Amino acid sequence: MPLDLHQAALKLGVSPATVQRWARQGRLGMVRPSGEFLFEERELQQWARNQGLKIRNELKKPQNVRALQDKPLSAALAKGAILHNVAGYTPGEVLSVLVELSPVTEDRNRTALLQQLIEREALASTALSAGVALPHPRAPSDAFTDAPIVVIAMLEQPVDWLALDGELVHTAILLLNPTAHEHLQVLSRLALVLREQKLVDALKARSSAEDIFGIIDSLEPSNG
Amino acid sequence: MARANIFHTRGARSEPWQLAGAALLVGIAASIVAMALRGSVHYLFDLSNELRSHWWGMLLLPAFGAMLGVFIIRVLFREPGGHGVPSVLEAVTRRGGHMRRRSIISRLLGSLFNVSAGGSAGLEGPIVYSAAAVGSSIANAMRMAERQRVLLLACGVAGGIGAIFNSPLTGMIFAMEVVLAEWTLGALLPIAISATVATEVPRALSLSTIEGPLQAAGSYTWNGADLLASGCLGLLAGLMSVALVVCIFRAEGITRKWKTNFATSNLGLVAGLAGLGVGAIGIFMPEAIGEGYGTIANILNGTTALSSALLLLLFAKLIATTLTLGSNAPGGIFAPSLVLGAILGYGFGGLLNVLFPAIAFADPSFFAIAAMAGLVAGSMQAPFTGIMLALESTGSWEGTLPLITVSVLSVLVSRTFLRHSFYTWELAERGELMRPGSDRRILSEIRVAELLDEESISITSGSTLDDLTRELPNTSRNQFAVVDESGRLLGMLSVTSLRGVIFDEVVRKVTSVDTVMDTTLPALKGESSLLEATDCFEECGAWVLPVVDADGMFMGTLSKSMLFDRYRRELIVQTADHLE
Repeated sequence: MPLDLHQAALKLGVSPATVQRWARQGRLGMVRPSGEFLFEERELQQWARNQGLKIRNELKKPQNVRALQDKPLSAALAKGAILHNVAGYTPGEVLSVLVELSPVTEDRNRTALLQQLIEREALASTALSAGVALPHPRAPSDAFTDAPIVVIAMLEQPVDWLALDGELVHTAILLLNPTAHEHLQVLSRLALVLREQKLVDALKARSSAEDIFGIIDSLEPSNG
Repeated sequence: MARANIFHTRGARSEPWQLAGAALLVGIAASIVAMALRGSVHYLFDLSNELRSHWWGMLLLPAFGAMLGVFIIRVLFREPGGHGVPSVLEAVTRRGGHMRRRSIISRLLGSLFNVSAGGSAGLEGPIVYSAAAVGSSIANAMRMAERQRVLLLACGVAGGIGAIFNSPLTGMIFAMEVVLAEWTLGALLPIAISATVATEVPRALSLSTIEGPLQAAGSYTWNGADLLASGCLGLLAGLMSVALVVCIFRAEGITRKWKTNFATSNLGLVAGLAGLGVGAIGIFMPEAIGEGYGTIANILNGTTALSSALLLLLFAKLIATTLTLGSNAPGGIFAPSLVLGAILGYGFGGLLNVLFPAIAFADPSFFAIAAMAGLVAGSMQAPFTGIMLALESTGSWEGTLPLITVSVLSVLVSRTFLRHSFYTWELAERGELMRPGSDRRILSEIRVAELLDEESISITSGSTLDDLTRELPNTSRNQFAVVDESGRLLGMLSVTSLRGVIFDEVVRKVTSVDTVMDTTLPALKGESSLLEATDCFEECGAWVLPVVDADGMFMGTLSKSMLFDRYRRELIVQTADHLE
């Protein structure tokens, strides 16, 4: 099937105006500048090869092929869980319970995940202000999940998470992401909603899973 | 108003004179090389004439010569086989004119035995190779820069061709049209000096060159009908050149296949087999083998009979040349082209007289000269070289117009079918034919390490985004490299991708750079050329890429904008002729 001007421009990676100029200057030997711009694909490829130009067979897809979520945080939370009364006296104990309860792709990865979470805590505490901690592996990996997961765990008793502000942690929010890009997306949404006192109060008050999900969903701005 | 600056600075004044002096030396040396080879080939050929009088000698000699030639080049000197001109072009386009000193004699010795034993090939290719190596070595001895070395290499080529054909203009034109592929005043002057000196040396020593055999018997007269006939002859010469080039390349392909299939890394066996074929042809048609200048001489002085046997001779010569050159036996395509042209043109002239007895055409030997130009022009896709060679070596200056006609049409036909000439094919197929001022040439000459962004900042793994924001005021860049303690590159961070989290102080403090860095971006090697870098940019669509050394240590970043900026500067420098 012959290509029109726009398709040819797309293939050559230039604008239609450039293709027109090349034709006018006689560089594209196979078209007459006066005639219609119709290109045989094979001829165009041959021409590009002779010029040393690369033909683009399809437009480069963005690295992240997953469809953009309207509300990435809510979607990740829906895939994850909201848990009450998670037991443990130290961050390590809390994390091992949290990992057991998380929907990880394969069970055999749980040990590795726990180890990574503990390593990350050793690097620097993940405790934010106001009694919330954000445990996550040091490097995003698709070994644990193939889509972003957020697990909110309200703790049985406050735990000393070595927070900078010295406050005890009452809620740990586990972040699991396959890529750095998705981690940034979910994290930025989380930072946004946690600035709202309403949500922090609801977490402190051990509100029901439905309430907390509802608050987060209403606070998270929509991409659409 | 300031006085116009019409004089060169002192440095710019002395450089052309240095080059001219060196070109003089190169011319003398190239001439000696050419004369030594021609003399020894004639001596050996005469010496072996006794053997050739027996049929078994005729059959076995070419095989023996080809095997010996291949053995000398591949085993003794460890060089690639063939006629060597692609290696000269490669030295010009890829290696700054560098050739090894041993290349001065390797191909001379190889082709000496092959051609004097009857291989259907010329000495010009080997002489071009050898004389180019002479020029390169003299430039090395004088500690010259790459560009000057390339010029002296071309001076050697011009001298070699000038000396062997007694034709300084052909030498100059071949050096510029085929070897340098550029026509600048700065290049022309030293090349002209070398060609002149090289042509004069054998004359001054009263050594015979091939002036004898190629010299036309007398002067010719021609008219409009001949010019018209020359047009037809040009088309035929073009087809013949295409046939010659295609046959040799097909044969080379078979040779390569045999080499891999029978695991004979030594190509001597294949060349020996092909040599047997050449010998067999020689038993029935001795005019078809060897260098063939005797054949041309007989045609030009009219002693060759005008008969249909010429057609047979044409095919025999084509096959003999295909066998010799296609089996990678050392030798060049110049002489076979001239012989094929002479036979073709002579036969064409004879046919004209038979077909149109009423029209008084020029002598058939005149068409022989015209077709010689056409064959050389067509197989090398170098019209000027073909025209000049035929004019100068035969002295038939009165035939300029028909010669131009034949050469131009021949190149036109050749370019219709073949994308590259006999000489450039090999390099072009490898993507290494990079002519001066071309995009690929410029990109291939610049290393990524030359273009590193000095302002690029790296941040150690384990740091938080908070540490990163403290670095931000110190730089105008948006891309950061994440490295480990030893400086090894781990990933890249782009400030723009952090927009959503970087303004939240608390999140900044709990987010490590490792968690949010991009590890999917490819890293460029500092030693790579920009040619590879541009491919990489095109593939991944990034604007900034990290650069690492051979051990994976972060060196800096390279941005597309920097690449374009420096590319333009390089273009200005490379396309300006400094020596003008």
